[in-house]
Amino acid sequence: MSKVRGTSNAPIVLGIIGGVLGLPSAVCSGACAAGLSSIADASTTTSTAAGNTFMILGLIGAILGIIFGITSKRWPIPSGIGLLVATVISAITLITFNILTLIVVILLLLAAIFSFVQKKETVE
Amino acid sequence: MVPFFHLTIFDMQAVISSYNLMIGIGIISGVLLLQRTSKKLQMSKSQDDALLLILLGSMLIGFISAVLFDKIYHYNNFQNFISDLTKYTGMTFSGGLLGGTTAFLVIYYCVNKGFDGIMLNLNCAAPSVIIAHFWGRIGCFLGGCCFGKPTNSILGVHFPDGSLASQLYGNGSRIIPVQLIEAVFLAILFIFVYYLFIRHSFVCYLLFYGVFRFVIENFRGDDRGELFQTIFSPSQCISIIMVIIGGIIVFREFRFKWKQADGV
Repeated sequence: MSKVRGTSNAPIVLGIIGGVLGLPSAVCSGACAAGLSSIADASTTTSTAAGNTFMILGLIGAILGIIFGITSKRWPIPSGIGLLVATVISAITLITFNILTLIVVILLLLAAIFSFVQKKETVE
Repeated sequence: MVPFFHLTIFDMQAVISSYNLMIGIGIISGVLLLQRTSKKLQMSKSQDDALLLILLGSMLIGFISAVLFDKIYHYNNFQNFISDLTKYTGMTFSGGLLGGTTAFLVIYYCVNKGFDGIMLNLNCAAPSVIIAHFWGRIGCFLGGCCFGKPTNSILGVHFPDGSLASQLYGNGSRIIPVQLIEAVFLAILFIFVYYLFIRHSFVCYLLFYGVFRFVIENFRGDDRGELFQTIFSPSQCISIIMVIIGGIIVFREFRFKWKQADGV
């Protein structure tokens, strides 16, 4: 049975770099979210919960970026969708005004685009 | 030692962890190299894709195993172990290698319903592991972890004040850069394995790295942790296991060749 696979290494490179940069970025976003909550006079529990939420979102986005970056050759279209999901999840943490998160979002978005538009080949 | 790279974009600071960046470069190098190695070993594209997916699963489990083994090596009591289970306290490569290899074997068995062709896949994956490990050690040097013992020799490197090594041995101490020594060894091992022994790369990695790691552990200056309360460090125990498994594989391959030569 023939399968369609991608031929470009660009989604792999961009997805992995976006993912590994997203890991510390998630920690920064969590800290920024906790800080912003404190400035808004939220209680310590609320600030901690906000920080944890944004950190977990950032981590999920980063891990999905690595996974779907690596699978982009084997399954170009599903991986592209996965990278878009990772982009959206990472983009949610942009409201913490973390510049590293912006870099991560751009990298994951580019990875998703390359995964969709890369040249494809049919193999047996 | 450069633990962070600072970027300024539109007057906003971004801080990038050098260790994470090196790990990322290592993973990318490993994945791209895997494609070249599979062509060299004449594997089909579908075999290459399957191996990449199995390696992805093994890598994720390997990272979790690396964190878990670090906690086991630094076990104090059961209560602390359980309470610290969800906190990140560090990683250990040998634990990650053990967990990742085990995961690789299990996933391979489930996907292929047996171990047919396992050595071809392990030989294809080994150079990628070596190159990723090389970049990881560069990351360790930049991050200032996994350092060696103090020395007055020409090899000694002065780690900055405030680094982990200076906190342990005092500011101004010269430390053996075991991270760089290991990186150089891995670079030489990669060239040796990839260009000379590609069809036996997994066994070469087990034997040579196992022996090297056993020796270099004596020059490590950070907290090595404890396992089974032996005279050896946990990584030395795993190195012994690596050499034993490498020896068994070599023995089985030679025995097969002897039997073939005898016409059995």
